[in-house]
Amino acid sequence: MSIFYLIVFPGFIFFFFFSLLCEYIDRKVTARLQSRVGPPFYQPWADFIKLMSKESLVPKMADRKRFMAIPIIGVTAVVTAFIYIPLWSAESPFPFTGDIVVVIYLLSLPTVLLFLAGWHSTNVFGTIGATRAITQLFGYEVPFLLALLSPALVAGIWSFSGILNYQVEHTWFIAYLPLAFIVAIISLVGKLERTPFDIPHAAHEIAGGPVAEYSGPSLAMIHLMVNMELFAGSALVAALFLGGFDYIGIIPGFAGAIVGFIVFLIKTLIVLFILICIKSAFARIKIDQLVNMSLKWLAPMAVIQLLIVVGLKFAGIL
Amino acid sequence: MRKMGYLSDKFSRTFTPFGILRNLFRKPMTLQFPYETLPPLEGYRGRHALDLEKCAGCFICSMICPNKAIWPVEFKGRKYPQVHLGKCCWCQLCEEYCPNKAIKLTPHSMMVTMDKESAILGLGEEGFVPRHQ
Amino acid sequence: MDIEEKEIGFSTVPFGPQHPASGHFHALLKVEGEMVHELEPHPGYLHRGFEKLMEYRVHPQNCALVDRADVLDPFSCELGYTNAIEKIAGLEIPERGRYIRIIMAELGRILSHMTWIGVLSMVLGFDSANKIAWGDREKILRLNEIATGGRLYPCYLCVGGVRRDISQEFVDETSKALDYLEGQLSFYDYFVFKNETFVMRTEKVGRMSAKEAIDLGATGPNLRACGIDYDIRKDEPYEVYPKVSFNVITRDEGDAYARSLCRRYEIAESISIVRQLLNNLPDGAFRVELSPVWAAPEGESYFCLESARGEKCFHVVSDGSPCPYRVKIRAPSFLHTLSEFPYLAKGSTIADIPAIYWSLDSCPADMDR
Repeated sequence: MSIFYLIVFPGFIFFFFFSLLCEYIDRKVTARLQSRVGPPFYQPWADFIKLMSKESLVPKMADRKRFMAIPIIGVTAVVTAFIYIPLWSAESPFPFTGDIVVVIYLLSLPTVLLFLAGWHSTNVFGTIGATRAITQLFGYEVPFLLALLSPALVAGIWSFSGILNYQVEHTWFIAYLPLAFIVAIISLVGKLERTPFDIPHAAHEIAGGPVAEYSGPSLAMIHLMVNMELFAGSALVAALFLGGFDYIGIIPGFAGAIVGFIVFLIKTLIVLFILICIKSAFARIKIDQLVNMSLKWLAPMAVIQLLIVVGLKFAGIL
Repeated sequence: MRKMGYLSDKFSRTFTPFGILRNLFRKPMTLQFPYETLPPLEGYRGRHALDLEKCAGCFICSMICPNKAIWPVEFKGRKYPQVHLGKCCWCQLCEEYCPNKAIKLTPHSMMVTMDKESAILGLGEEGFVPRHQ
Repeated sequence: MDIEEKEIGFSTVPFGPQHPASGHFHALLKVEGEMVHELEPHPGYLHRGFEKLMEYRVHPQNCALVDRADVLDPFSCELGYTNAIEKIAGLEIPERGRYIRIIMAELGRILSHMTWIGVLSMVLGFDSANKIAWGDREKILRLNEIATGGRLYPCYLCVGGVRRDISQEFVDETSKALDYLEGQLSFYDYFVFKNETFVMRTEKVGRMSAKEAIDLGATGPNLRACGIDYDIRKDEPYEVYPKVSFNVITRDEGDAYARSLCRRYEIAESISIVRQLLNNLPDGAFRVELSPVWAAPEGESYFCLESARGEKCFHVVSDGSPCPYRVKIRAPSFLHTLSEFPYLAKGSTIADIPAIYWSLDSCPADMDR
């Protein structure tokens, strides 16, 4: 049964198809916001198949094995992170205390891998993009962790099952942790490297940055890694703040699991829609402005939220 | 006080761009090409057409063409102009200075071909007809 | 400036010509981390030898080809050439011809500024504004198509007037398009020009003082954004500009944001100029018929006009033959790219380079001719 979970259902095959579906939704809604029509339904799969059929060129001075291994490690990391997010009940297929920490750690691997990819490209654009990726890591990682600490503090336990069970008994966390939700969404935009924070791949200044030298199947894997991170990040925020599989009413048994799964997907798509609106409405800001903003505004907001939670717990309200 | 004004400016400037969400409720601007197009206009400068009856063979069109895209070709014992579409700059000077109004630019603009020969408007039975139809 | 020597800690980053942000222009940046120390421009990728080739063609042929000298604002080139020749010959153009010329020229200015909004947004990473601005630009391209038969290269003006008359359909469509654009300008206000991220990217970037602007040879909106009130349409008016009333937009700060606002308000002024001209359009002839080998008498003239980029001047020398003896075009983009851009780029970061370059609004075709 665990092989089924790993490979088919919330494992590789489902995740692959659904993350490319998320890319389609992203591109289609962005296009409609810009008064355009957008690509047809099958576009992300067609792009993937086309890239897999091309030749992968490696720069002369780069180390071939490391260059080609980086995208594969990235995809593996994100798929492993996704398995621990509970989709249809309070527990994922492999629950344990502390699985949130594992998920957050694995989801920050892609940024470090982008840094390595840029460094190994031996291209001046790659080096600049790699440095920017690491600087951005300092910017968003601190507020993201602090924002995700608040739900864990309220529930009293650092695991998905504890947090989701708490949300089932009481209301969803967005109702009394709004500041943490806002900080988590903005840091998520930074983690996923989308506009306004898509500074490492700033195509218009440094021609693609770290991924400039990739082509063919490696590039297909990098795009897949980015889309998978998008889905996994939205699922993480939906599970922690919007209640995951929780819905009004109770349907027991297998039918209940299916309804819970569909509700979870709808919540993930709501978070995705918020991310798409943020992407369409803003330009790209500079790296020093990003680090300034996140350490001056986002991190203090998360800390204030934490102090409020500690105060309310002390007063016995929560 | 000035700092409060500056901060409230920054705050409102962060939220007003979400007005773009109104585009979700409107029809997109794109016209999907083969199914919907803008109507072609009469004065559009597209492919040339030659009226063999009216042409006098004076070759003013050839002399006035800025890129030397028109040159003579022999047909039924007389000489007529022949246009190389690859060199033409679509300026309509040949039509303007033709004394008998024999050569005209039609609104036909879909001229895509994989074959260099068909870019030369040769002569057929009815004025200019591309060699490979 | 010899950037090729390698120094420890510095790297050489190329900016274009195959680059999503640079047009057809190449520059080498000497960079330390993210800070740019020096910028060395390498123009010439679009040099076609315009001025020499114009000596071998007669006036109608030149008028048809000269709008490739500045592809983003073609009417200004045609206006310059025809007016310079008419000044040598002392030709009088009928009033209707003059009105139509300036209507098309102002529509060309609006077109150039809409293209500029799109490209500046694209290089700042602001994809939505790029697509929407270029979608709105299609309305003016349709107007060009109705009046002249071509979208980007109109080939419309000739020595003696304009080649075709404008129809009632053009007048109706223009009014509709101008109403639509005025509505869209208020959208651009809150979506682009008051967008927090756009302001963060362009405020205090590429700052020029008034004295520096004059020393570097800035003209057009780049000069007016530094506080200097100089617009050739008001100071040395040509064609029908004495008969229309409009404001000259100036701002004080001299940075990229001020230049952007200058251009945005110029679009509104151009819309009002076109409306005034359409309301007072006289009837009558629109062209003085001349033979294709008409020759201007001997003489020379220097004609200046205000194009969308700045001050464009044509110096034409004629020796009594149907082909001009020498044509010299003073292109505004030449000074913007080759003297202002390296000066402003010193001490800025890599992220600022596209913002500075496109806020100066230079067209590579105009720079190289």
